Amino acid sequence: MEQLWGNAVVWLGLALLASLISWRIGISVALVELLVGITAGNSFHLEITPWVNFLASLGALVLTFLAGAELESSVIRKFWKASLALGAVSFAVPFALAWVLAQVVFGWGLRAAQIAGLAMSTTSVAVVYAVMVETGLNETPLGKLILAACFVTDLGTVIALGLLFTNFGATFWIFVAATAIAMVILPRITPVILRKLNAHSSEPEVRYLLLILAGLALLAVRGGSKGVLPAYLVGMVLADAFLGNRELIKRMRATTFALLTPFYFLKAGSLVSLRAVLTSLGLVAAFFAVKTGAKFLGLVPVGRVLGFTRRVNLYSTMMMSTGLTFGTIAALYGLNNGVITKEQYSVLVVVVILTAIVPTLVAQSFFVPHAQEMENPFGRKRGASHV
Amino acid sequence: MYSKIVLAYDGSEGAKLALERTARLAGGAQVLVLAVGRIPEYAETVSEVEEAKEQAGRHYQSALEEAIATLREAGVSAEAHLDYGKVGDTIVRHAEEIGADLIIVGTNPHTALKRRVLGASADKVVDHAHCSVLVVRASQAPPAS
Repeated sequence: MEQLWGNAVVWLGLALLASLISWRIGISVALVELLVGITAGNSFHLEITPWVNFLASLGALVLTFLAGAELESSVIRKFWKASLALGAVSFAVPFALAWVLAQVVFGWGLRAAQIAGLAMSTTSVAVVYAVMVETGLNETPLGKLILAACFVTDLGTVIALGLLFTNFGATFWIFVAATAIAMVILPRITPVILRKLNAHSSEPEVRYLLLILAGLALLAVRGGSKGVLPAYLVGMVLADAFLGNRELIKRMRATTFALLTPFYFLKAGSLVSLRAVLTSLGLVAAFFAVKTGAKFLGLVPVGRVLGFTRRVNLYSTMMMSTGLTFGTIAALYGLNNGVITKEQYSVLVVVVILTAIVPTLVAQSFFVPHAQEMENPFGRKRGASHV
Repeated sequence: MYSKIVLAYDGSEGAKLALERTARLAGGAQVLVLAVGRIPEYAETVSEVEEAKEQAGRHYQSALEEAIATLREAGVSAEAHLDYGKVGDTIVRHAEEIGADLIIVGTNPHTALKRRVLGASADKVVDHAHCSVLVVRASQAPPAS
């Protein structure tokens, strides 16, 4: 019992430290938790107990659900062609090129190389959104289009992660059927349930959602898939139900940020070996270059076809070169399941951290679109309403 | 003397002194009282950013109202605006957008270490502004006349 509380004091102390640093310097607590985790994991023995693993796994699950629930379906409908084209290319090209780089050039095994491809394929809707709020871009057609495309990219990553390492046996198809039924039924019954429960002090709505996520995660794992896949899909179909219930999202986020995600990001950081990173700086540089290069290779031509101005094209490409949460989820899945080594994991997570910071800095410094371009990102060729 | 002034205002001691100085200096100038709410960089979720915006809105609303009331009492034409992002960058951007010819910022005492590690928003404004910048220091400001 003493050891339990000893571990709890260490983990909760690190969580509080990360929170205080984040509050002081204005950088998202997720990134600070990763960095605090890296520092702690490389400074002393940080024991990853079963209860830490549970909290971290539930944190990743709920975070993925919240990411899906932030979808604006009206925006996707409005820009469906452009967002689908940009989002699909933004996922597929980095995934393929990073996979090839890892397997052919660096000699990683097939499955390890696929994990590298997945970790490099992501974008980060939240990172992009926070950057765009600074310029007011999030309220413009261009901003909404970029965010919608980021959703599509992350959907590609989550689906690929959920399907790549599956054996497609009977339990997998049971999981697919259950998820499909949940996606049809939940948007109908959830608003009714939320209205009836009406924010009781025992938080029944939060418990209801946690139960659904845990149930679908159980089916996913039994079927050889990943819990994050149904979590993201269910989040997406419930997004409209949450539009009118932001208070619930806020309470759920408060619960998650206080108790769950610190364990996820601290754990993800603590497993990074700085020694491995320092001896593999070439790999870090190569993966970073291939991720951003692949985004350029895929997205710039699509932007040209869509009629983006040059500045808009470069800005949206840089924005979609970001990554954070899903990149670490893919890498941690690989490590936890013995698909990648600790050295490979360390390289991938450091690259993911770099992609959260560098592309946004470059985009904000050199490529912020002019006001007219924000309203009409398609220049003279076509109006936003035609896309 | 000045036609458009941006006053960066967060309700702190330094900002209040900058407000007093603005009331004396403005004359017939149009004053934009600007508060900048910080939002987390590299966020985890969109709702995290939204909540930070809401908190900033609640925090700065009354401060902005007080500043506007003070300026109007002094006969200065002023309007308030709340924006979000990095404080220094946002002040400079608004000044450029409205074509301001003066930015007034208050600054509060920092320890040398804090200033070196975290920087000061006033430093960024002085470094990057396209126009003149008046920095009113909390510890050195002369008493209001």
